[in-house]
Amino acid sequence: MPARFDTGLPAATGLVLPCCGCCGRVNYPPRELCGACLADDLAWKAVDSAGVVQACTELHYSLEQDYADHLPWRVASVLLACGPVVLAHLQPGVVEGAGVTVHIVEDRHGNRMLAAVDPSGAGADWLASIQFKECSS
Amino acid sequence: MSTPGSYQGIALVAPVSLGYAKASEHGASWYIGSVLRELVAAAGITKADVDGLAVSSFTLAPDSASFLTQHYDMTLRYIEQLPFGGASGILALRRAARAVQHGDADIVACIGGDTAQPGSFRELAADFSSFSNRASYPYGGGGPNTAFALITRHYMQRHGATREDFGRIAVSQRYNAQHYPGALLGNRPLSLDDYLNARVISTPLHLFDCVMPCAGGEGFLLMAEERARSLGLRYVTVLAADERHNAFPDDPVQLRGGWPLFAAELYAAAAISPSDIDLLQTYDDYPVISLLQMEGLGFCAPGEGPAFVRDTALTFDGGGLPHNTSGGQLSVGQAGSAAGYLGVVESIRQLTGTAGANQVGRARHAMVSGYGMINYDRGLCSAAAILAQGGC
Repeated sequence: MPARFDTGLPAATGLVLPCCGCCGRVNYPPRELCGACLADDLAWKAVDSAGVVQACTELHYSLEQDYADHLPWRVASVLLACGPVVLAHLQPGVVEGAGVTVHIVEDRHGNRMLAAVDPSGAGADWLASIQFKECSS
Repeated sequence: MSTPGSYQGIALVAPVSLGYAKASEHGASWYIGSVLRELVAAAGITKADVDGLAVSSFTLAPDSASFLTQHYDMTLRYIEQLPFGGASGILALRRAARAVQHGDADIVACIGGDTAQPGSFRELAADFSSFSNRASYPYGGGGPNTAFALITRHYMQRHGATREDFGRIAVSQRYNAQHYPGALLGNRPLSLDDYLNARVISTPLHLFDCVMPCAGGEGFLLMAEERARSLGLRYVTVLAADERHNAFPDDPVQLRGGWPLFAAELYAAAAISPSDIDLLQTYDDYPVISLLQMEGLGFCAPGEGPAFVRDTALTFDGGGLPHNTSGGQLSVGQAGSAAGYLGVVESIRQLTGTAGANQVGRARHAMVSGYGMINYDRGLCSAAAILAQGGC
């Protein structure tokens, strides 16, 4: 099955996000111009992947069959130390207030998405167990 | 910063709600045109008397407001298409009022109408906006439930709200809907136990926190007060109205909309206070958003929404603050953009004394509030208007 979601995220190790070469703002969700200064100078750059979980939910209903077959599914909003709030897949057991690292991962269909995991090794084990894998650039 | 000028001399008449159905074979132009036909009939005018049209619809494409003039054989001098979801009705009111005050139109039909078919809600959710498509929908495919689950969860943790608090809103609205024949869920009683025992959708949201997408139309006519009087129509006046977009963008999770930025000015312009409001219509796509509106519009302090709904009867006849008196979207159904007009239309019915079995006893002032457009993680549009009983 081909990638279904065009998230705009590149294949990369760790976390890269659109950064403004003019004012330095880290922009997310991806957009065409810098949201802060409107400069046409955004480039994908490595950023600090640390963040704190703000809120999490466990989806028991999905409009997408791929997810409907794997419910419940956990999603969180994460405030990144580098500025933006991202929505991300969330590792089981991680709750609000927890420090996480956010990675670009690729599912078995090639969809590139963000995942928030415990900074310890348990995070990598979880990503492997759900058939997500870290992207390699 | 300047503040909005007076809406003096503007009248809202002819509240129309029609065609609510879980699914429909008709298109949006059927819904909008059917509302228009009923508006003209209710006002005792002809279609040719309508020289302005303000419409909102999620399902009108590939057509637009412009194309509708040919659908309905109308020559207009004012036209507006307002893609603002749950804020559309108040924004239509504000735009159309200025057009009439300044002579750009004499009678504007303000209409929200949408159709629905099985699967059409998924299509809307899966391709709603570029931000949503890239950064929200791919995470579980939950549609708007995901963002609202996160907002609800954050609100509960921050303010100590319980599911029972949200349940009070849903249950009282269902009671109101049992007295409003147009409500799709009005014939299904809902107890607090029913609410609490419903199946989980996306924690902490359960079934009765979520609206049922449907087809339907809502509309009203906006004209000069003297025109309404000469037509012998019962009408409502606009004491104040305002709006904000993308307020408080740095809040990590939305715990307030734009209402606190203009609520004080709104009451000052209307020369009344929250205690003078006889009925409140909030945009209830999820109960937590109604709490944000109650707080933002000064009915209680920020974070005190849970205590407020514990202490205040919200039913139309409970003697507290009648809230979403026709049942709101949670019980009437969410007819796309028409849902953004529902509160205005219901307020016009209440303030003109034409509501029927759900009529509020003393309805002189209504606060109607709008909220809309979940681009990514929060609703971007906040609007509110204070309406008052007029004459005739």
